[in-house]
Amino acid sequence: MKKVQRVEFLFEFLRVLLGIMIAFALCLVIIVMVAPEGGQMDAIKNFAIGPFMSERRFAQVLSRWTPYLLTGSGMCFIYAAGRFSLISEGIINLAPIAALFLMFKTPLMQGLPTVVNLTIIVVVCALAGGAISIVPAFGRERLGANEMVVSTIMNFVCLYVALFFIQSSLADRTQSFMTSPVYPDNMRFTRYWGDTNFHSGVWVAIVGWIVACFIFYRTRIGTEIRLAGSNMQFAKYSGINTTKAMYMGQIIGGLFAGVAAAVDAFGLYNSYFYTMLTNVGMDGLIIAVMARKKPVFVPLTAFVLAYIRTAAATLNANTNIPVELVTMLQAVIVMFVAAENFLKKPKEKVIFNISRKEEESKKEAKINA
Amino acid sequence: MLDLLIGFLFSVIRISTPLIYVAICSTISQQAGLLNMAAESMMLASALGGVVFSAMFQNVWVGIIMGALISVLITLILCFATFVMKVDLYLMSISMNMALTGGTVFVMYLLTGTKATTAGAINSLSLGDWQIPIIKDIPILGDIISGHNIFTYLAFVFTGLVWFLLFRTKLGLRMRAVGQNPTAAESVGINPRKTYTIAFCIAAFVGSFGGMFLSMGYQNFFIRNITAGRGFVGLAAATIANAQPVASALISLIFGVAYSVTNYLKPYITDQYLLTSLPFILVVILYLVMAFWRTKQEDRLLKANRKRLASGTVEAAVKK
Repeated sequence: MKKVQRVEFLFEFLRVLLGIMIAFALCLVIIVMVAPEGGQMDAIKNFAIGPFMSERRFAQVLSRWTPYLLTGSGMCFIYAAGRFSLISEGIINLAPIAALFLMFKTPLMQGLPTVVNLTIIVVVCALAGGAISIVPAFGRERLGANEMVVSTIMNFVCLYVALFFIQSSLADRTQSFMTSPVYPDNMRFTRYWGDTNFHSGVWVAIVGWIVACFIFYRTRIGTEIRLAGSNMQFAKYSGINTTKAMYMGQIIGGLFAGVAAAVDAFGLYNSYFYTMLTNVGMDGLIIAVMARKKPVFVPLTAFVLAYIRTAAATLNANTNIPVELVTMLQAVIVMFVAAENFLKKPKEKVIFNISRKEEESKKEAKINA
Repeated sequence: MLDLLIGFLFSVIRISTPLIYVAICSTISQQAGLLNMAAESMMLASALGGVVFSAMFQNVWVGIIMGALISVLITLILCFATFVMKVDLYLMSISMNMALTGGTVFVMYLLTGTKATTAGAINSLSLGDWQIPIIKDIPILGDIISGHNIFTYLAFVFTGLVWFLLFRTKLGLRMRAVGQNPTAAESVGINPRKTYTIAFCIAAFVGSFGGMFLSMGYQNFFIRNITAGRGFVGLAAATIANAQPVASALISLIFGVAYSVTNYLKPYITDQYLLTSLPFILVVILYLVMAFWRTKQEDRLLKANRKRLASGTVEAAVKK
């Protein structure tokens, strides 16, 4: 039995790897076709190993990796529950507003040390994220509305409501563009490596990932979410409160998205900048898909996506190939990685052969006995 | 005051046009039993395709046909992935939307060198307005109904056509049968996968006109992310109307009212961001309320039927 499981895992891994490789190869083909005459080698070099070429660029990869780790882990819960709530996208924009109010409108955080302030920010953002994610969850479990429609339209609501709060009460009027005042030094994550984009929020992300793994594999609620997501009827008849499990799956996803919002907004930027949807939440879904709903693999897949994104940005800066190339790449990756029928036949063949061999050896053992 | 009202009603019809297309497009796939989350990608593909090809051939109708074809082609990729490769439909729809949001910008940048809009760089055409011969002379009604873009009138024609397709043709009957119960439909010889694919392709054809209205209707250029969530608003409209074509067109008109109220209030209210979010909030609330009402009704029907069945068996037992 164990052998078969190992084969299953191997093929799962192969599928993800092949999906990424095919997408990467397609990307290189497109780059060669699009790049100007004579600049192909340079373009390919920029795309393939660009992010490793300087410390600054690698810091860029890590700074993208930080929120991806959190949204990816959160999305694993939502996706494992069998729901497609995309609300993380809106949470990234709206959750920091709660922390901003606490920061600039109340004297609470002024004299406190940095660690305490950051804890307050992370907790407040996480709670805000969880609260926002209740809306589509409630719509789905209690009212029977499709959570994907509700969450996608709510993303726009979140974006505009966040902008409304910034414009009406938080904006720094001395700036020519719309932004909050610059964060005080004791209320933001410190930058590493001499003012690169890499910041101390990465520790929050790593701790968050460990917590996610623990909840997912080692606690009662994680098991309930996984069971209810993979077979609702079975879970119901084994006495699990499936409605609660579904709620919890989506709310935990929201909590993690809230932490990601805190890390992104208070680490990467000097003041609240967002005027568009960031796409970090959507990328979380892609990461969860690549990790096959298993939070253990999220750091790896998050790194792959962060790397590809940075590579495309590097490419965009050095040649005339736009960064949007990557979003098409993502669709190709999803198509291969999530396809149940991709590599299905060879897998079945291998498993069949293993089972037959086992049966034969059993028979031989019987005859010998 | 009257002028303002006439202008308002005129803009309601204009703003609702793309929503009507998307709502009808979602209606078709919903009758076939699947939610069409990829409407956004269908619209984006046709919006850019129409602009590019109309500029290339300097003929509006060629542009429109090519735009619709591109949209159907994109949907065939989606169908291949979901029905042959067995990717989850929603997941694939999300990634198609993302891919097309980025992909259209990519293509636009390669063609024009800018990432924001094709205005000025691509000399594309737009479909003109149409003054309805007799109606345009009627005082108030003429000002509201006449003089719209041809796409707008096509939207109402499509509403009727889709209704006819769904409820009066063999294909429509098959779609609805598959939507009700794919296994039962399969047992009488209908191929569900084929029916799904056909439904999605027709949906893409209809939805593509919504995209082309945005880029070839009352303006003749493509802007980055031109759909701005309309695909999902249309889907919500179709769901609220329980996948009835005419009703979903009417619901889209109601959403159109919300959008144009926002547009008309913009000069008077300074908090423009809160105002911009209002139509979306309205859509969410309406959608949630209708979903709740519908689940309640289903429960009620189930209970009533169960009761009837129970009493029926009792009567049968008494008769024996």
